[in-house]
Amino acid sequence: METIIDFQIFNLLGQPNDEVWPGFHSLPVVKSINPVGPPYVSCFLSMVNLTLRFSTLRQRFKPLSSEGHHLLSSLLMYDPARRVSADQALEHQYFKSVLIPGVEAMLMIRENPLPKHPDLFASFPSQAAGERKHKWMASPSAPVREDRMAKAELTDLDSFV
Amino acid sequence: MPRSPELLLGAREYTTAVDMWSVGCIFAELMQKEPLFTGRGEIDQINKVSLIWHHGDNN
Repeated sequence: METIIDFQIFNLLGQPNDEVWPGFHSLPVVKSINPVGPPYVSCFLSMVNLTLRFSTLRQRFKPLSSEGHHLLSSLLMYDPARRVSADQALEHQYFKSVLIPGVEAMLMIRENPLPKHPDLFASFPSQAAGERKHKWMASPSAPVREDRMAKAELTDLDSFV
Repeated sequence: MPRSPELLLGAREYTTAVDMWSVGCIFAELMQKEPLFTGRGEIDQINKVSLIWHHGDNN
C-alpha cells in the first residue's frame, strides 16, 4: 500500500536519495511511503547538491549570513554520517570572532544578532524574596490635535479623558 | 524536540547526529521566530505510516 506523505522536510530540503543519503531506501518507513516534494537532484556531484539545497534554505532564511547558511545546512544534512558533529559545529566560522587589526585584544563578533551584555537581560521579580510585580501606572491618553478637536466637536478637556 | 529524518523514517540504529538535527531546527527557529517543521502533524502522519507498515508486516 502506498501512502503519499507530504513531508515538510522533503518540501524544504528536497527529496533525499541514496546518493545524498546512502541507505535511504533501506529505511523501514521509506519502503511503505511514496514521498512527495521537489526532487533532490541525484545525478549531480555532491557539491552541486549542497549548493542547490543551500539556495532553498537561503530563500527561507534571507537575513542569515553565508556562514550561517553553511552552518544551518551542515546541521540539516540528510545523511547522519555527514551531518556536522557538536565539536565541528563549535569550531564553525559562524561562531568565530575576528581580531580587529591595530586594536589590541579587541575582538569583533561578525554575526548578527550580537550577544547582549548580561546586565541588559530582562529580570523578573523573585517570589522567594517577596518581590512584587511592578504595577504599570495608567498613563493619560495623548491630547488631540486642535483641528481634529473641532471636527469631533470636543472641548479641550474632553481630549484628556 | 524536533526529530531527525532517520528517526521519522524508522531507522533502528542511530547516533548522536539525531541531536545535531534538532540543534539545526532550533537554530532555524531562532532565526525565523517560528518552528521550522511543525512536528505534531508530521509525527501523527508518521505514526499512521508506521501502523500501515506494521500491518503490512503481519500479512
